[in-house]
Amino acid sequence: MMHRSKVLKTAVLATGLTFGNVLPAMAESVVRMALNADIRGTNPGVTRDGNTDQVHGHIVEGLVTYADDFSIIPMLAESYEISEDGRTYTFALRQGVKFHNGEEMTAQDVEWSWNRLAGDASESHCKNFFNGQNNIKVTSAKAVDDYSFVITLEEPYAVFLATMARFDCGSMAVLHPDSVNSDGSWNTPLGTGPYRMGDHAPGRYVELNRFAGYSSRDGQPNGYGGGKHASVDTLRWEIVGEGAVSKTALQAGDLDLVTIDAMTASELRGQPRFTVDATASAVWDTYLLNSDDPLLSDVRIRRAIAHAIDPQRIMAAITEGFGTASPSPVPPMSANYTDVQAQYPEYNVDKAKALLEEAEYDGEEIVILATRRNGAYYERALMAQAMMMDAGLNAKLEVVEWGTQLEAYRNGTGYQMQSFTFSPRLHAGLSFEMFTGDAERKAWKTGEAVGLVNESLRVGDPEALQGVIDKLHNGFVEEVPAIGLGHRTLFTGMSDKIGGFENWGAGLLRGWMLTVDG
Amino acid sequence: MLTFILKRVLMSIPTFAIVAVIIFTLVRALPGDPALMMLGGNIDDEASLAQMRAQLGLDQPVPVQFLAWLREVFSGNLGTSIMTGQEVSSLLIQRFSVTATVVLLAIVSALLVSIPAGLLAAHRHNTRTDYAIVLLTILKLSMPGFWVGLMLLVLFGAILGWLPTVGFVSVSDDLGRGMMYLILPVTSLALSEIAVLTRMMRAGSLEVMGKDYITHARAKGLTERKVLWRHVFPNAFAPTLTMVGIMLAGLLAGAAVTETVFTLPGLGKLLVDSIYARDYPVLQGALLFIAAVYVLTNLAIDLTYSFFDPKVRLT
Repeated sequence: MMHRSKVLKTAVLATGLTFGNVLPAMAESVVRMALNADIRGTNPGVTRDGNTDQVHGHIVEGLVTYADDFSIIPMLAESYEISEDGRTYTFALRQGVKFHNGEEMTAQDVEWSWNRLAGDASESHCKNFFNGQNNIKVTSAKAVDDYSFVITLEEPYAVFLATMARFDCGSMAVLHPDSVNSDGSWNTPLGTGPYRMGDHAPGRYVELNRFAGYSSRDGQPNGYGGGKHASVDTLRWEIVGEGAVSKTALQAGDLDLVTIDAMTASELRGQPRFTVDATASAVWDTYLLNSDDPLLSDVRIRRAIAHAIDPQRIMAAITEGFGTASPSPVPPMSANYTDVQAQYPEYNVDKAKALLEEAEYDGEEIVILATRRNGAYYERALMAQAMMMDAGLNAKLEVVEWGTQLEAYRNGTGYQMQSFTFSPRLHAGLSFEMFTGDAERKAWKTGEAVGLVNESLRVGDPEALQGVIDKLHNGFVEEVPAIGLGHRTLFTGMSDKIGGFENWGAGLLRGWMLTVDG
Repeated sequence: MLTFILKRVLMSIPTFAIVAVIIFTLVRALPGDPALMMLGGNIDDEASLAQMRAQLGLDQPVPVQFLAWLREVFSGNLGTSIMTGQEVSSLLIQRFSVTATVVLLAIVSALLVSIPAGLLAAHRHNTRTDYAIVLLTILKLSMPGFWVGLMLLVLFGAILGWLPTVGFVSVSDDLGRGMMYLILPVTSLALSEIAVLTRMMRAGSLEVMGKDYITHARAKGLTERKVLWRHVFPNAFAPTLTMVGIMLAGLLAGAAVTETVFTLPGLGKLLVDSIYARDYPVLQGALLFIAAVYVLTNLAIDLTYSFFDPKVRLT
């Protein structure tokens, strides 16, 4: 009785007679998962957050998307060409792709969808990525014929396709115009994805149903693209706020697949009825150092902190031995992660002490800001505090609520050091850009670093890009604007009836890969 | 009685006005930017932040925001949720119905157990029965509600497999299944209330049992059962009733912990989520709603006093 089999929800799909024969009852397969908060809506790129993007990612697709190694691959586009001057992108669309209402996708739908998100009247934040507010300015986006779509930029920009593939914009989701009502208000997402919107009971659950008319690409799944041969009929997410409850529900057989923490992963590992997946993601756990602070403006103090902290021990502790340190902002699964990115200031308390002496450090307080939010922000800060104290630094811990910490980060004031996390940036240049720039909130503001980041976002040649990324990494190690810890290990606990699960660096669930036994 | 009710309702108007000002001020004093929270990872993008603030009306001066909100509140519109776009008033009603079902069932269950238990403990004062009841209540009071909830889930959900561990089905949709989902949260809440109410009932009963009229009732030859139920209970119940009122109002205002553990889409969970998301309209609407729940529950309790104690006159 310990484990009730609720994986298969049996439903009679057909009870009619065909040529005098009764059709056999067919089982509908369901995978039940947990979301820690309800989705914010059904409008991709408009009503969104991390949970919502994950659900939307099953319903909608864009012209391009991210591969496993974070390179850009075509999705709804059959292929694309970039003009010699780097300003014009011509997308040849796949033919025969169906929307969830059965209509075939054409370039006119792509144009309508582009304007929905990136047009002047758009309510989506995504328009600011293409209207010149954030470097990229699209001067035109037009359907040339039924299967060709052309986008022209004012200036060439190397990360244009990567920006198009952003998950928070549903990869610039292509939708059927009937997704909105005649008065322009939002109705329901009629996308091209392998799942269509099912039942949504706010605060309780959200369901997606397999789209029988889905036109898959050939081949194997690759990142968020490739072949999507969905076999599970229904993906259902229960809204469960507490990790302990999700774990209990998994053990009770009421849920089949849940995100778990390191301790639960360690507990479930080896238990016969469960499987555990631990995958390194591109989520970067770090300590931001405020270089505007009078004490931390001295690079020797920042270096001393870097030598005082042992990323390897902290990562091992917070991941129960599953994770390893990877202090570079560039994630190890990136094509731009090389031996250069593997370098970082060694853990050496003596060196830390020597640097402190050289800087005439006199026991001034260094406050580490942290929150008790999921993601071991607090635990990371606590361990850093202990290590810093061991090296002679007078480190104090200040625990605040997440909203308060976020505001301190954004204002760039009110903190000296903080235990922080950056969501995945899937381009190596963006991995540095997230904390480098002129804005107050940026931890790294030196002119050279800002220039290199800007260059990394413009350079198209892979070799040249690698050169810029290596320079950035060396500067990062030298100037220590932040102390990298590692790329977060994501843990998933599953019933042993679930197959096909593979996590990847972006950490977004790919329900189309799942299978259910029995 | 009608005059009493009318007077109390009129008295609540300035209360609501003061509560509205306090709510609005405190909510705005919370550190954290709703636009920032809404955009999640895109906090590097200034233009999007400005656009989001304008959409949410947060680019207006605070007094203007307050007047706009007050105007809408007086016209019965609590606004729409920043997070989900749902109307706040319908969201509150939806969530309150879940909380009210659980809370009322829990309070009724708790009373059904704690009144006889309290009376019995008082009747068997300083005996093993009394000690056992007192020990059990102390034991329960020392256990955190969150932990008790989880243990119930583990025992009846994971180990015995008798009851569901996640999800919710409304009793209005399916009575049988709905009740299955209510058993554990109601039990968890009721257990906490039983401990408090039993102790209240026991203390009240002990006090009453020492009164002359109880000795007189016994001297008349009434059975102990009749003495307890006809004379001790009505006189000892008033303090317990006050406690029931306080509990009821508190729980109706949101049994956040129970709702979180048992994945119930109730008012408490909504309130907690709206604080984390800085969902100002929901937060403000929910707090105002809770103030109303407190006022109305206390009014209802005041009205009930006269049924138990004839000395109480509602004027």
